[in-house]
Amino acid sequence: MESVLRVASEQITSEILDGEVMIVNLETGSYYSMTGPGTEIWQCLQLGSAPEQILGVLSENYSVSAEQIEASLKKILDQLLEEKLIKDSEHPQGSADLDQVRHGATNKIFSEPTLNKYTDMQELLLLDPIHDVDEAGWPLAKDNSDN
Amino acid sequence: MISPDTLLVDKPDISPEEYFDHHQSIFLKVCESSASTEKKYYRLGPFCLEFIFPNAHLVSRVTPAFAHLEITTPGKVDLSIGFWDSASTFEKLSPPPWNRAQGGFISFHGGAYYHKYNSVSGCLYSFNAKHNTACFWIGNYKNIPYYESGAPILSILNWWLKDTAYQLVHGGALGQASGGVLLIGRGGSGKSTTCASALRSELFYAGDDYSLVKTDGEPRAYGIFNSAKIRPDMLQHFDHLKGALFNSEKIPEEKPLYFLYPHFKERLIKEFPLKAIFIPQVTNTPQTSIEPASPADTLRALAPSTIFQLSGLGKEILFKTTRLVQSLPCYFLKLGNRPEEVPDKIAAFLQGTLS
Repeated sequence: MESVLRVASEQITSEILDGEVMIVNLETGSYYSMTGPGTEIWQCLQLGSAPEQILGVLSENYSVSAEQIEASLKKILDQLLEEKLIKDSEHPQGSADLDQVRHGATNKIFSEPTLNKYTDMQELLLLDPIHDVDEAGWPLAKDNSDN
Repeated sequence: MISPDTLLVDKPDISPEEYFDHHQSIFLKVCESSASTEKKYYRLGPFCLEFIFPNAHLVSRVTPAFAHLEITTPGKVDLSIGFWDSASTFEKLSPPPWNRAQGGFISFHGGAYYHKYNSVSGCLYSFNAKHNTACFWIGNYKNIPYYESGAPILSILNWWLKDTAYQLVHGGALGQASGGVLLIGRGGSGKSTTCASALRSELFYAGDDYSLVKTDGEPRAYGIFNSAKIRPDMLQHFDHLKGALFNSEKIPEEKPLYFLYPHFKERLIKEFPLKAIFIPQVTNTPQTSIEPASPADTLRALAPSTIFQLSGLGKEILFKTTRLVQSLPCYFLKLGNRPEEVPDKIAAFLQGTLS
């Protein structure tokens, strides 16, 4: 039984639009984007895939050396793991239907997948307004303490 | 200072459903013992909303934002909301056992039952998705902050619309009966100033900060709140709004808040088909210009700010905002330094006469 990589949790949500994937971490407020091969890598991860399977898909989609793809793939997977957007899963490998990610157009130019990170929404989640609780247990905001 | 995490309960002895029943039963008890319970009805797009108040105290703090949508002969009610406070009713409410905390919000969700407490405003929102009923509570009606009066019950509306094609979005809307635009982007991007400028133009106003949109079929925008907020440094451009100012005594501590109904009722529009999405951007150029934006640019400007402003149902919001962006052309609205000229530019765009 080999482990696979998959989207880390229910708190990670994503949509693909116009070839670009937007990934939102609902817990931290960070959001991310990837294009080109990055979008295809994300599609594989949504299905739950081992790195070798993703490498196989990208090798079919792009006519560049497996070594070049492997180096790029390792780099982006490390970033996704570091951002806690994906995780190792104990589930058995093998059944992911990756055909939907294979486009077979090997003449497409392979560009280094890049994870763009945006943190401008984090301030909305960094509020820490609870200064006390009243005798009933209601949290009291600093400027609202007579509730 | 207390971390929200310390308030969380691993195994609460009451379920979200039971807490909703508890909250609603107290609200109903308060109404039964009141001689002045009041009901109001509003038409929001295809929906009918019912607001119930056990007394008048919250009416003047919640209903001005919806006044342009009020109807006297309701049909089938789609969402019923009870509004009450403890100070004026002398009835207490115990807090729910929180199971989630994020930012200033502490929540207690499960199944079809949602509860969220905004620890900044002191407002508790409870919603029962099985029966489309909701309760709003605050400790003391006098403490409702101005921004809650300007855009009340966002959380309840967001939960209620979950399984529909409709979505609340963080964006303003301007247009005419034949079509209009959605203006999106985070605070400070020029949405509110652009929308307020339209009150002196041929465009009509549907909202400056939040709008309801229909995200399938032909996209439409619906005005929810007739409120408008203006940055204090832009006030000199908006002398004509003075009569509609709600919180004049609390400026500059509070951002100026206006209710455009009834003062500008002829400039308000309830709905229109959407023709485009605009991303306003403040520039230092004299002229306003309109330039194409990619769908991805637009989704980045719309989805995260909507998700984190509404603080809940992020997956559903991302899905619906993606569908909306896919179906409309998108543009940057590069704002020149004469806000009064911007609506004319948008109107020319809508009429296809933009040079």
